[in-house]
Formats: sequence, C-alpha cells, structure tokens
Amino acid sequence: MADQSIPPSPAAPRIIEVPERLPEARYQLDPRAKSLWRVGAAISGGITVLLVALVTFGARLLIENYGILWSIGITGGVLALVLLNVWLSPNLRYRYWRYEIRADEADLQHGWFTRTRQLVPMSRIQHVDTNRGPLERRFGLASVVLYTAAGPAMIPALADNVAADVRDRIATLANVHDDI
Amino acid sequence: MPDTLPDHASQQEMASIPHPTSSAPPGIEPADGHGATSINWQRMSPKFIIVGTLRNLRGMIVPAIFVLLTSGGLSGNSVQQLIYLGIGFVITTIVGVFSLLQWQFFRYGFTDRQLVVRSGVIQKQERAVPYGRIQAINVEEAPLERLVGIVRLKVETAAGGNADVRIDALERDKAHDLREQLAAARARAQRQESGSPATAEPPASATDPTTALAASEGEVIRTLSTPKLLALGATSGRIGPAAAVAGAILQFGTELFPDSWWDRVPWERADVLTNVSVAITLLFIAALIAWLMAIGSTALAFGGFELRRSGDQLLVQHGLLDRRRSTIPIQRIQAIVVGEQLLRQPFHYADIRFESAGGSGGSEGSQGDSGVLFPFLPLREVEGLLQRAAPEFATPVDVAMTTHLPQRALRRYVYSATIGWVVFVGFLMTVHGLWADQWIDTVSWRQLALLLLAVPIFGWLGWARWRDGGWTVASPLFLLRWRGISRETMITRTERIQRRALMTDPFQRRANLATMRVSVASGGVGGHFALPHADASEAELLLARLGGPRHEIEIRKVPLEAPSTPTSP
Repeated sequence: MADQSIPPSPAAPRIIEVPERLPEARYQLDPRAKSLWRVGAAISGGITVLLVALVTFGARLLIENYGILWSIGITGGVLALVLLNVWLSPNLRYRYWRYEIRADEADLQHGWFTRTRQLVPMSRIQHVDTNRGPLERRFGLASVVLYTAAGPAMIPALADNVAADVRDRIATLANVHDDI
Repeated sequence: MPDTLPDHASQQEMASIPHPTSSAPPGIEPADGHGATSINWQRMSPKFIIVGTLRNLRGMIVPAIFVLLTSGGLSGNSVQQLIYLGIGFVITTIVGVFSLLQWQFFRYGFTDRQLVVRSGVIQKQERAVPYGRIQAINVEEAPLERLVGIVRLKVETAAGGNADVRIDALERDKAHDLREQLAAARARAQRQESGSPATAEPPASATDPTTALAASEGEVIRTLSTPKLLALGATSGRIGPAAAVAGAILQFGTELFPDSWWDRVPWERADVLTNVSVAITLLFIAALIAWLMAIGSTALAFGGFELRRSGDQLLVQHGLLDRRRSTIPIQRIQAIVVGEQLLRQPFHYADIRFESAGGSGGSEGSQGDSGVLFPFLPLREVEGLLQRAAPEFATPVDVAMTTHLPQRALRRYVYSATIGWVVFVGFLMTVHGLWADQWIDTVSWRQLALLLLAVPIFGWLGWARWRDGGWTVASPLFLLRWRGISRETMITRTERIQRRALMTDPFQRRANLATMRVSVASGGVGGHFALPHADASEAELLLARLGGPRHEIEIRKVPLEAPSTPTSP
C-alpha cells in the first residue's frame, strides 16, 4: 500500500519567545469535584469515627477505671476533625487546583498548604490513564494520570469528556520520535 | 469483525489549541469521549475466564491445604468431606464469576493515534498509549496460557513496569496480527512526526543492549590503581557501619575471651577501667579497627575497578572476590552525579555515578540502572572522563554554580541541620534519665548534654549545605548542586528532564523561597533530585527556562486511511 495514507505533517510549530515566567495554569477542575471529595471524606471519615468509637468504648471493657469521658472525648474529637475535613478541605483543595495542557508541557498546580507546581514535557509523556472509581462514575468524573519514565502525575476529578479530550490532546501533541 | 485500525470521516479543524472546560469543547463529540472517532472495541479471548480462575485458585491452594490438614478434613466422615467439597465448589464459583466480570469489562481498541485499553470491574481504568510511544511489543506464553492455547500481549513504553499495557488472553495468531499492526502504526506515527522516513530504531540499539560485553572488549577509559584504592577505602564513609561493628565486637568481645586471660588482668587495679582515659583509648582502638575494616571492605568491593568503552556501550567492572560487571548503553544515560565525599573534598577527589533508564532496542529493553561510573578521581579530570565515557554530559564540574541560594535561606539550612541533633540528644537524655541510669553509670544523663557541644558541627554542615546549593543552566545541559553530607553535582540534559516541580510551604511562601525538584528517568530508585529553599523568583525562571523554546501548534485532523492488512478469520 502506497504512502498516501500518511497525512501531511501538522503545520510546522511556530516558535514564540521564551517567556521570563510561565503564565499560571488557566483551568480548574470540574466543580463536581467538591461533592465527590466530600462524599469520599464523609465515607472514610465515618468509618474512622466508627472504628475509634469501637476502640475507645471497647477499651472500657478491658481497662478498669476508664472513664467514659475519655471515650466520649476522643470520639468527639475525631468526629470534629472529620466534620472539619468534610466541610473544609474539598473547598480548599478545589480552589487551589489548576491545570493546563500546553503545546510543550502539562502544567499542574495544586495544594493549599504545600503548594506544588509540576511541569511535564509533552515529549516525555509515555501514556495516559483515565481512572474512574465507583464514586467518580456516579458524579461523571474521571482522573487522568500522565505517565513519564520517572513516574506518574495526576489530574483528579475532570469531567468524563474533558478527561477524554485531555488524553486525546496529549496524544496529538506528544512529539513522538524521541529517545527518552 | 474486522479489526483493522479505524477509518475516519474528515473531522473539524481546530485552529488554535482549544482547551477543555467543564462544558464540551467545540468540535468534540461528547458521546464516547473519543472525539469523532468511534472505536471498534474488542474483547479478549473467553479462555481468559478459565485461565484467570485457575490462576486465582492456584493462589489459594496453599491456604486451602493448610485448612484441610489442620481441621482433619481428609480423614473426617463423609458428611464433613461433602461440606468441604461444597465450600470448595462455592469458592471456585465465586472466583470464576470474578474472572468472568474481569473479562466482561476488558476491552481494547484503536484510534487514529493511540491504543486504548479499558479494564476494571469496580475501579475502571482506561489506558491510552500513543503509537509512537510504544517501545516494545512482546508476545508472552505462560504455561497456564499455553494449556488452553492463548498468549499474552504486552505493550511497553518508557514508563515501564506496572505502566505497561497488557492484554492477557488472545489467540496466538490474533496476537501476532495485532503485534504487526501496532508495529506498523508505530512506524507510521514516527514517520509522520519526523516528516521523513525514520530510522527504524535509534542507532544505539543497533547493538542489542542486553548483550553483555566481553570483559576485555573495547578500550579502557580508566582504571583504579592500588594506592588510589587504598586512599578510597581510607576516606570512605564505610567507617560508620564499620565503627558500629567494631564497637559491638569490643563490647561483646569480653564473652569471647577465655577465662584464663581474664585472670591475667590485674583486677586490683580494676578501678582504672572507669577512668576516662582508658575509655578513650578503647574508643581509639575501636576507631582504628573500624578504619582498617573500611579499607578492607572497600578494597574487596572496588578492587580492580575498570571502566571501558566499546562502541556505544560502557563496561564497568570491579570487585576482588566477587567480580561485578555491568553494561551501560551510553544513549540510555539520563544523568551523571559527581559526588565529593567529606573526607575527599579537601583533596579535590570525587566519584562519578550515573542514572540510566531502560530502553527500546530489539524485543527486550535493557533494564535501567544506577551505579558507580568511577569511584575515585581528581575533580579536574572528571570532564575528561566524561568526554570519553558520556560525551553528552561532559562539562567542567569544579566550577561554582551560576545561581545560588539566597541569604535568607541560610537560617533554615542551619536550623534543619542542628534541630535533628538537638532532638536526638534530648531524647537520649530523657531515656537515660528516666530508665537507663541503673545500667549506665559511667556518665550521668546530665553529662549527655555535653553532646550538645557537637551542635556547631551540625551548624557548619547546614552552612555548607547552604553555600553549596545552586544550579547552572548551560543549554543543553543543566547542573544542579546540593549537599547532603557530601557535595553532589548532577549533570543532565534539559530534554532528559521528565518532570520539574516547585514546592512551597506557607513559611517558604512568606519568605519568597521554594524547593526545586527535578526528575529524570532511572531504573533504580534514584532519579529524583531536590534543592530546598531556593529563591522563588529564580526558581520560577528556571522552571520556564528548562522548558526550552515555547511552541504554538496548530492541530488539524485529517482523514487517515486504515492500513488494509488482511485479518485472520
């Protein structure tokens, strides 16, 4: 078969100046991410509280002079922390997540206490995973994992179609004929 | 059902790069999330269910036998045996259903640019590998699979390991067919990107990298002479563990000596043993023994060190008793790290280590590795050696970095270096004061506070870390320098950097500092480098610079004809 099946190469990339500083990543995660994380935190937090309650109240059977105030106090403390986590951290986490898939690299910014900004060159991305757990499926979200030879980088909680678009985009932009 | 790569109708043009937002971007059908391409999904061979069930059951055999034996199931009456049989049947059914579900939810297909595999029952995963990224396509036959006549197809990328794509059950000819299609798609993708017929493989793989070089192939770049070997041992950090061993020997050595020797010791003057000077002498002897042991073990490990080059591969051999050899394809080297150990730095001697990654090349990629390229050489000769061994990384190392750490970072470096020691001494004092003082009465817990006299040493270490930290960008090379205990300088090429990152905690943000992180590919655990408390603005500039010139790309999707390879029935 002749090579007419090979399309013309994409328009030669136009080089623009090297900016002094990289612009901030422009895009946020899907807003439903907050609900997703809240539900997840509630579930795992609930299990944690149950376990703590079991242990602290159960310990009363084993240890003498174990005041009920201890059990209530500890369980209450854990419950308060869990509630705080469920209420607060999804908001914070969402607020500080930014990503952008540029022609040269993927830019991932996240974290509210420890802020991290990762740049992964397009030419170094080997493949892309799209993961959906049962919770994520319920919300119509997916997380995208970019794999390099030095490990993965993840963008959580994108809408399904956006995740697919990100993946296709990376496949298009990835400059293929490179050694690692 | 034909399983050729798909045909497309022409698709919409995308002028600039549109970017995903939460609503569907223009030009992309949201239906199955694969653009306007509809994928021809295919399943594995149903024999997977059999193999999967068997495999899972095989994992249960040992615990099952254990349970059977301990509960006397084999010798029990027939009712008991029936119960066990019933349990076994139920378990098999459950495992079988599980395998069935796995098979049900496993699908693979091709788009115009990538191979897509969907799997997962509860946690669903979709893995997409662009054709051009495929490094190796292997067809594997495990004995269990061979029993039922299927094979496993594995598609490897440079990400390696768990990140490979595996299709666990295919009929043999279908697997080979797929393999050819993928290889053709890869070749097409590579041709397309480079705009000209690509050389099929990078030249480095002309020699199969897994062929070990003969011990005397190629030319010798450098060897380690015996005096240098002894100097290496005398200044090595192995003193630490050796000292621990020596100390242990001395402490428990009393048990080893026969009683007659003990009787010879003038015990009337035994009070001399609590004398500090005797203790110091013993310590000195222990240190001397440790030092000699360090020299000895270094000589054993690094004796006869030889670095050779043959074509585009390096051969490293060393070891007196146990001769170790490793072959390193030069093209696969990702980074070079030049280390200056504490005791050698004043004499300007260094060691060279490398990080290399697994590669393509034939059907078997070589494993990535990290190791020693040369253990002991003058700092000023490093560049020369690199020019012969790894010319892409050759650069003078005995120079200062162009970008340094800011003044306000000094405080943090000194603090983090000393705080560990202070906490440790405090811990010792607490433990001693509370519990251990009935055993150890040569020193009181208060005297342990004297250990705090060592704080200035740690303070100096913190200062040295601050002073040595920095980087230099000399395109295409990037040098990063830091100090743990010894000073290290990493040399890599900007295109080898897999990922670069900036991390800040709130305290750093307040002081406009940031931690710089860079990762290269590595077979070993290494490959990740970090420099804390750099100036945030400088670090952001570095982030931008390491990315090289920025491109604007116009994406235009055009019709792509599928290759018309005849498919097997």
